Order: sequence, then structure tokens, then C-alpha cells
Amino acid sequence: MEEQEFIAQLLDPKTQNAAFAKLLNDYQKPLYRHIRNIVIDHDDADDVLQNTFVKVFRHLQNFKGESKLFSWVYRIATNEAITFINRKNKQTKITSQDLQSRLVENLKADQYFDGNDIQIKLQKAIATLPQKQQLVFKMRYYEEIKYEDMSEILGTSTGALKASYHHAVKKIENYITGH
Amino acid sequence: MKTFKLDEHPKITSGFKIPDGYFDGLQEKIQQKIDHEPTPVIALHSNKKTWIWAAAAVLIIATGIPLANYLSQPNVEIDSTTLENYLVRHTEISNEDIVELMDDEEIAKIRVDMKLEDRELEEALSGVNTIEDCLIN
Repeated sequence: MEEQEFIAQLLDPKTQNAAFAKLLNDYQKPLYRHIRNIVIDHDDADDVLQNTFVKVFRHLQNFKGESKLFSWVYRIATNEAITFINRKNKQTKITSQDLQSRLVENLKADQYFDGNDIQIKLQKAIATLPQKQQLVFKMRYYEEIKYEDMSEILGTSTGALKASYHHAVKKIENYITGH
Repeated sequence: MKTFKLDEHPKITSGFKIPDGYFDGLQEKIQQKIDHEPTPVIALHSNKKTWIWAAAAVLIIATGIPLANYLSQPNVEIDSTTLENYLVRHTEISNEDIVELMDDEEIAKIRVDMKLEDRELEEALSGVNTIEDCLIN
């Protein structure tokens, strides 16, 4: 089905419920992965994912089709996840990087994490990066999202994203080499 | 110490696990949230302050610009000599034009009684060297 046709079904009250169920089915797994990579904890990812889909549904009328549906949905999910992290920072009164480090430290005890040493080391290395670099690295390395799509989602040029990813990789390699 | 290279290492996954059956109930939970959560309504009073500020800004701009223009203009008072010289040089302004701008009282004040005897006139004219000019004009 063409994207335009699917968007028309999402906007038509008669076909909206069925189309939204399909959207949920198509996006729930990749979006969960995307959000979980940002917020780390499963329960937090669950909250953010549900809020993301509720927002997508409520704002369907505002979707103008100027960007791809994929980019629009991912943009909402990313904003929700970042807003959640920032709110948590304020509540705990610690910086974003300190919060990420703390969340990564808790991973070993997390029943929904079964990573080995190198996986934990990589998570720790990512936690040392600035928030935007973390996001770019996770989207490119873990999710393998194309730079062009990332550019639409994050509203940043592909050149800047490539540079950001390059810097992130260098810092991560230095961190893992030194630890 | 061996330098770690990310692209030379086998792909490292995140290590996150998803609880069994998590996605089975997700759709229903989201649908319930959509059905039961009231659609956020933007209260009119929440925009009240914005409107007040906008109105205040418009008022300040509307009154401020003319006031600023007025204050920025130099207050020039033209002395009567400059004015007279200007009027003399600008010959397109005729005496009739000037008279039209004056009321009867002002006209009466500048009226000159020209009842001269022939002898007085001749005496006055004899004292003028450029008599030809006077006669021609």
C-alpha cells in the first residue's frame, strides 16, 4: 500500500481504527527498541512508548505529509524520550550524563538485560557522551538508521550527523581501550 | 595495550531483553489510554496573559511610533526675515495669494493711504536716479 493511501486511511474516521492498529503493529517493536536505547529502563520505555502512540493518534490530523510517516512517528518518539530523560534529570537534580551512568550501572541487576562485559562497557562508554552524540550513536550503531532518515527525524544535516557519529566512535574507542 | 576499534569488532548489540508477551497486550493498553484519557483542552484563560501582552505590545507600537517621530523632529522656529526672503525669492507666490491668507483686519493694517498731491509726487520722483525705471514699471 502506498504511504499516501495509508495516511488517508489514518485520517478517515471510517478506516482510522483499522489503520491505526496496523501502524501500531508495524511500529511497536522498532519504536520500543529506539525508546529503550534512550531511556534504558524497560518500565520507562513502556511508559514513553504508550505516550508516543497516544500522541501519534491525537496529532494525526496535524500530519501534513511533508515528511515521511516513519520520520514523523520517530520524531514524536524521540521527543517523548528526551523529554522524559530531561524531566528525570530535574527530579533527581543530576546531569543527563550522570543519570545515564547511573542507569547503566543498574543494568547488571536489571532482569531485562542480559548483556556481557563488552556490551556493558559499550553502554558505559556511550553514557560519557553528550546527549546529542549519544542519540546519534545509538540510532546509527544499534538501530542502523540511515543518515538521511536521521536527518529528517532530528532536523540536523547529514554532514553534522556524520561528524557527530565520528566523534562519538573516537571517544567510545578511547574509553574502551582505557578500561 | 591493544587499541579498540569499533568497526573491527563483531557487532555489539544493546543487550536489552523484552519481557515475554510484552507486545501482546500493548495494543489494548494504548487503545484504552486513547479511549479514556480526555483530549487535552486548551483553556481560554491560559491564553489570557498572552492576549494581554499582545494587546499591550500593539498599543505601545501604535502610540510609540508617531510619538517617536514627533520627538525626533527638530523644533525649528523660522524668523520673519528668513520667511520674507523666502517669499521674495519664490515669485510664484503672488500678492493676491498672500492677501487671500489674510483676514480683513490684517489687510486694513497694511493698507497705505496713497493720496499724494502731484507736486509731492514730482518731488519724490526727482530724488530717484533711476526715474526711467520707475516710469516704465
